[in-house]
Amino acid sequence: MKKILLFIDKYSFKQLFFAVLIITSLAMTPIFTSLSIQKTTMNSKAAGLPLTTPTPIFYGSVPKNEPKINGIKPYIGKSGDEIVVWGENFGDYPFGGTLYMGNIKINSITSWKQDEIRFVIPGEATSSLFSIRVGNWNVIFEKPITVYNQTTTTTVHVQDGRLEVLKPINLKKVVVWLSNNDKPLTKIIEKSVNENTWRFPDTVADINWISLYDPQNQLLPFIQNPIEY
Amino acid sequence: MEQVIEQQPTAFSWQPYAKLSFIVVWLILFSFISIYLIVSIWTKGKFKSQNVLLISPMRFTKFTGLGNVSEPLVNLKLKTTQGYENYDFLLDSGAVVSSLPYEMAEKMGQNLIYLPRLALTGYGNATTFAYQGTMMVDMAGNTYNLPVVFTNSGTTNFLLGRKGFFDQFTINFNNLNNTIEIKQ
Repeated sequence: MKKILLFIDKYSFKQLFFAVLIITSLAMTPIFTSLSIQKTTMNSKAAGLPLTTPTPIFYGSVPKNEPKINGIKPYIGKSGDEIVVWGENFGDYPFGGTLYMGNIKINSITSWKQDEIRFVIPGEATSSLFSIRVGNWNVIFEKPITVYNQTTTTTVHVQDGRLEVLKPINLKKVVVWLSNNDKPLTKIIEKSVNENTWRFPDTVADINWISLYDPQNQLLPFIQNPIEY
Repeated sequence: MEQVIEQQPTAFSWQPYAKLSFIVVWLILFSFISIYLIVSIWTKGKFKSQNVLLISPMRFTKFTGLGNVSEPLVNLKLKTTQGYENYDFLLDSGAVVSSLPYEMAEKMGQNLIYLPRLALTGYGNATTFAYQGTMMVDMAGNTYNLPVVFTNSGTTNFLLGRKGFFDQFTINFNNLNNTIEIKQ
């Protein structure tokens, strides 16, 4: 006891206080680090959007027969939206397989199987034709995908077979593909209900695809409520 | 003549005792806090007491040949543009994320057109499209912002899934009391 007291007495209160402070800090650092990691993991669970999937690895062989695109769903989207492509002979994650929207290469491919490809619309993409390049094949789908953004105001509204275009800007024609007909049903809109509402002349059932064009035959972006397609 | 110096026994003042007390008190506090924190990390808060947020009576449906079967339904207050409204949610640990029908988006002041879209593979490999949003629910006066997807699948209605719900709350099916307890 006497020895301990003598030993302690060699140091001032100030020195002892700093020694205690340093030891406590050193000992607590790993404990608090572990605790903060654990708390971050716990807190981040609910806010873990978006639900992402890892990028697939392309290692499969190139398909022997020409790929065929049977359908794309949906025909409209914005940057970051997922699109599904159905068809045949796509290959199974084929080495060197690439997707394009117009001239924009699609980097975010969610999955690539023999009969189905899923991808995310790239940030810089505009309304354009979709194509698959794999091996020597370059397959282009005939119907263009419409890409809209936050500034798009033109709205397509379909109800009871009646197709209306609200707030059209520079609209010349509306092209509609019907599910029971591979050929497009093209109608050039000439009359409007009023300045802000243009109506497709006939009622149409089973709409499969819609595209809007301006007088220069350029694609026009539009928005449509997903409930309608 | 030799001088004899007699060594006097050291008389300690109060200071070494005070210093010793300071070290002893620090050691005790340090040990207790360290043990508590280490145990907390080790058990990952397993022994933390959980607050019961909601106790919902278990509901039963009579099925031909099976008799009464319990339905994992809970009634939650969901925030809409008209304020909080009560809806029955099915607890579905098989669902990746909670889901609501498309029509609810508008009611909750969310526009499907601008929500991020995902393609989901459902029952029977059918592809459906879902729009990612959030929903605000009230449980025991506490509000929780949970991830949700709006889907068009006609049969699925209000589901509570794993992401944000099952991984944040403890759900206890109490067959003794016929209740469903949601704890945090």
